[in-house]
Amino acid sequence: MISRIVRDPARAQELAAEVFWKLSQTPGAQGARMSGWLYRTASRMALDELRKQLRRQKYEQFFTFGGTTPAPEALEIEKEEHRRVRAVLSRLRKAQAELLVLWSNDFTYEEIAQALDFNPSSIGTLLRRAEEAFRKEYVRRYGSYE
Amino acid sequence: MSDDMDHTNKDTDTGQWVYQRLTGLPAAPGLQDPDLALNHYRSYERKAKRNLRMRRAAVVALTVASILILTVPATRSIARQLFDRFYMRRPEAVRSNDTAIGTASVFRMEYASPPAAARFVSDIAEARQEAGFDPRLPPVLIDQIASGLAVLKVSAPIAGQLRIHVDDLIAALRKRGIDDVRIPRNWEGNQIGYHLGMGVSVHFLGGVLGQSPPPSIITPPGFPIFDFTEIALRAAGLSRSEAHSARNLFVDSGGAFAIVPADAKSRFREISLKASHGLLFENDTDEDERRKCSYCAGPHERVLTWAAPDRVFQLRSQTMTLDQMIGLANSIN
Repeated sequence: MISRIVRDPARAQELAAEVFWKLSQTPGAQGARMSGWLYRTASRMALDELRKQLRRQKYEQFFTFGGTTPAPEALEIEKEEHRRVRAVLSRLRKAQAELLVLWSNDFTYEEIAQALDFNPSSIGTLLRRAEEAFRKEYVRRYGSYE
Repeated sequence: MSDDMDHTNKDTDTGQWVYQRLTGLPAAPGLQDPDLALNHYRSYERKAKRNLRMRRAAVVALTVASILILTVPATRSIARQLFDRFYMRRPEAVRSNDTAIGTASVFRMEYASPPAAARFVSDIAEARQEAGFDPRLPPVLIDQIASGLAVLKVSAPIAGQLRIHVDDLIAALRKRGIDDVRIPRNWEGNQIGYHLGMGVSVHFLGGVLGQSPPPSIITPPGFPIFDFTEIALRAAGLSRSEAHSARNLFVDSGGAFAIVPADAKSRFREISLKASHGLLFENDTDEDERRKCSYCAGPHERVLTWAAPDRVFQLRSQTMTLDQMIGLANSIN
C-alpha cells in the first residue's frame, strides 16, 4: 500500500519498516486490532510522506535557479496520470485521503471503520464525500476528469 | 482482505472513476512481495531485541557504577559533583546605568560550538521529529504552514560555559573602586553552564514566532549563584542597589533576566497574557539593538517574550500591532 502512494521505492521500504518498528514499540496496538492499526499507520505515514515530498518539490523550485531535468527513467516511473492522482491525494483532508487509500486497497466498510475508528454506518457517506472531494480537486487542478 | 467487501461506492460513476485512478497507482517494483515486508519486520524485531538487551546491560552497568560511587569513599566526592539547575520561569529585565554591561568580561561565555544556523523543515511533523517536542502553534499559523504561506525552521541547541576567575573578578571590582566585597577563593575555576535546547520557529509574513524548552543555568552543587550574580553585576558596573535588585530578578526569573544597557533605546514593560506574564520590548528607532541584551529589539520592532511551564516563546514583528501580537500569543493552546 505504501509503495503505491510513495513513488520512491527505497523510501517506501523505509516507511514500511518504520511502521513495523512503531508497532513493535506500541504494545497497545498489538492484539486483535493490530491489522487495523497497521494499515491506518501505514496510510498516514505514506500520505505524510507524499505531502512532504510535494512541499519539498515546491521549495526546491523556489530555491533552484533554472530547475533540474529529471532523468528519463524517472519520467518513465512517474507517469503523468499517477503524478496527478498523488498530487490530488496530498491536497485532500487527511481523513478523506486515508479513507480513499484503504477503500482502494479493497478494505470492507467494516475494516475501514475499524482501522480509522469511525462508525461503520457512516463509512458510505464519508466515502462518497471523499470521492466527491477527490473529483473536485482533480477537476480544479486539471480541468476534466474523463 | 476479506471477500465480502462492499462495492457500493465503486458502482457510482464518480466512485468507479476514483477507484480506477487510485488502483491504477503502481506499486514500486519488488515491493508487492509480502515476504519482503515480513523480512523488514523481522529485521526490526531483531533490532528491537538487541536494543532491549543493550538497555538492560546499561541499567545494570549504571546500577553497579552508582553502588561503587556511593560506597567507595574516594568516589563519594565524585557523586557530589552533580549539578544544580535553574530553569527559566519568567522573563525579566533591569536597566543599568552602565553602557557596556552587555560586553562585560565577567559575563563572557565560551560556547562548546558556534551556534549553528537554523534549518528549514517541511512541516510540523518533521519539526516535531527534529526538535524532540511538539511545537505549540496558533491555529492561524498552522493553516499558513499547511498552505505554504509560512515556513518552519529548527535551530540547534546552544551550550555555553562561564568559568570563574577570582583574580579577574577582584580586578574588575577594584577598577570600579569597589573594595568592600569578599570573594571566596574556592570559587576559582567553578563553571556556570547555560543550556538552551532545540528551538522551532515559524517565519510568517508578519514576523517570527520562536519556541523552545526553557533554557537552564547549571552550577556546581551548592554554589551560591545568587551571591555570584550580585558580585559579578557590581564588577560589570551596576550600583550596589541595582545589583541587589538584579539578584532578586535572578531568583524570580529562574536566571532568565536581561540587563539592558543605559544607551539602549528599546523600552520594555510587562504585558498580561491569557496564561502568563510577558515582557515586551519596543524599539522605535532605526538602530538594531538585538546584540545589546537578550530580549532587545531590532529596528522598529516589537519583541514579546513569555514562558509557560514547559516552553519559552518569543514573538518578533515589525508590522503587527501590539493587540495583534497579544492575540496571536493568547491563541496558542
